[in-house]
Amino acid sequence: MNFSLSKQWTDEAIVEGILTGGRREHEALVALYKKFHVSLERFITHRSSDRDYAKQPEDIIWEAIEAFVVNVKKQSYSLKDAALETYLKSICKNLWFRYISSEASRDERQTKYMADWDELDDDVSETLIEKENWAYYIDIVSKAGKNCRQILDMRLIDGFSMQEISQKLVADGVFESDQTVRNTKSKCLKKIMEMINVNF
Amino acid sequence: MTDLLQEQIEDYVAGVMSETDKVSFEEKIKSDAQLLQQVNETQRLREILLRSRVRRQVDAARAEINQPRKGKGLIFMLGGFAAAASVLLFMLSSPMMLTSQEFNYRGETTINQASEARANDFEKAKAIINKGENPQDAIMILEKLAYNPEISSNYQRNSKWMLVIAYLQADKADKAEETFNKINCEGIECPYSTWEKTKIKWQIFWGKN
Repeated sequence: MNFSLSKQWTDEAIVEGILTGGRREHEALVALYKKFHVSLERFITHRSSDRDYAKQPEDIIWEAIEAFVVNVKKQSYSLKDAALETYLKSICKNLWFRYISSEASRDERQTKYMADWDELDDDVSETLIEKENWAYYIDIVSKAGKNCRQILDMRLIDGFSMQEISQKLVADGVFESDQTVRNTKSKCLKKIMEMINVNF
Repeated sequence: MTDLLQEQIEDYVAGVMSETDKVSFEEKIKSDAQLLQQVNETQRLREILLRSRVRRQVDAARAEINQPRKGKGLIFMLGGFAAAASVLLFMLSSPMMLTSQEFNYRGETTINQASEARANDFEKAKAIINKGENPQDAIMILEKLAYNPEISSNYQRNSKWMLVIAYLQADKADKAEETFNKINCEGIECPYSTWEKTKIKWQIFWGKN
């Protein structure tokens, strides 16, 4: 199948690409944006007032894409639940409403937007968007160092055994021996756990 | 905590534990509050790692979407040059018209029968060239005028200019070049624009090649 043009990417191919990871995931995300950004932007803009918002529809769209990808990877989204566009619109709706709720006055929200929002279907509820402030924890992980992150990613997300991880990283010349990989992982895990648990 | 238990927690959280091991491990969790807490913390770490990876992927996709399209820019630039060049070539290749600048072709203080005849011939050649038909007739008239010592240099020069155009119309680029080189007209006194001269040179070039 040729994936070079976004219009050739079906919803199934996009979800499959995201689950595959790597380069295919990158291509799927670019295709996802190209395929839906016009309708999503119209959807958000149509529900905005004339005031200047610090956050633009573009930002909301990317946040929605991020939330969507997380849900796909956690397998809490399936195409059987909702068409991809509908699902993205629901996330955009929640993100945008949450944003303007913090920006606009209560009166403005009540009189100008609430009626409109209420008309939208609520199949995909507010629970789509986690309330925790993940940005802080993502920042902790980002500062942990590339090697540390790579080992933990391979172990906890990809599900490789420590033996498989060691073989790969030693073969790639990232580490000298199996023991240095294990030691690095132990130190890294301990340090990150401490930082997370202090703040959670 | 032993290394083996740590490994079991990670296998369980990563979802790579066998079904049999999973069942017995979940039984263990139920009866061990400390183990449950460790599992929950590891699950939280997994969630953070997952979100961190997704954030990097989404940022990379956004960066690609936002980056200037170099290839497309180059195509636009080359397209622009090609379009400009096409327009220029079209304009350079369009039929040469006589200069709109008027000149006193009579150039002679006294009008006699001979000068009157020359003036009429000049006008006739001009009309032929502007019509673009039978350039040979214009050439016959202008060859006599262009080198006639009895008329002013200005008159001769304009006759040569018209002769060049007539030669070009008759596909005689060599003769046109030879005559054009004799015009020897530069500076502010020259009645022909740089554009007109460039156009003549271009048409001579293409006529010869």
